[in-house]
Amino acid sequence: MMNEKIELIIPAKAENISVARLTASSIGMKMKLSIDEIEDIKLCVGEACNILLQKSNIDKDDSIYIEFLISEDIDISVSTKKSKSKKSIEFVNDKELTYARMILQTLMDCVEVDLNDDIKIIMKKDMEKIDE
Amino acid sequence: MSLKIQETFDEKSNELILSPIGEIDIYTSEQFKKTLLDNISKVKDRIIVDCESLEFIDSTGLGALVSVLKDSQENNKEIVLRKVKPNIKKLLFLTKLDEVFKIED
Repeated sequence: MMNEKIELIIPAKAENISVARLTASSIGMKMKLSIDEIEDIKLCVGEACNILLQKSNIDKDDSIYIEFLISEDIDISVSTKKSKSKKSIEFVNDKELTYARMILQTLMDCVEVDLNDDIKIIMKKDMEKIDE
Repeated sequence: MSLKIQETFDEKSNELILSPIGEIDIYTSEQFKKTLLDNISKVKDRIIVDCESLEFIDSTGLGALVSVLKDSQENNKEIVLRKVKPNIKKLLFLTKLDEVFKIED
């Protein structure tokens, strides 16, 4: 499969996170992934958005940026464009993020939280594609 | 996606059954939690969450369930999850909540 980048920008509101999940599902189907893998990335994209909504200083007038880099595998980044001046995500130590963290770290092969210019959650999943 | 919650009382088994229809996520989890809390106080022993029409739940939905479970246990009541779909069973397993909730077929 050729390398492709698909970007989605959604207003940072809880009601829009389902749009991000649906997009992730559609991309998974495009990549001919298994049903389990599609469910995994759909859930993880939603969880990453949840973390930003709950723990960053993003508000409803801001946007969440989601980028899917598709090749043999899939790299996904979910980010804000806000600085971390007011809040920062204590990903490892935040008790409220326990379930989100367990989900991301179990279902994705790599999870990083970048707290530099903006707040970005980067995930990678190595894929086993179903036969065509 | 929206969430509808049906409430039925099974007179034969004397159980209150809540049936969430749709998705429990960051947008709908508070609605779900409130419905659970409103109803747990009305039952004597336990409340059944019939998950047959529950298509998706995320960490916020799990948090809502756990939050209500703690309240119910303090009042010697039980929350039972019934007919949980495989994708949600997987989630309960990886968060170890399958050891916390009673799950029935």
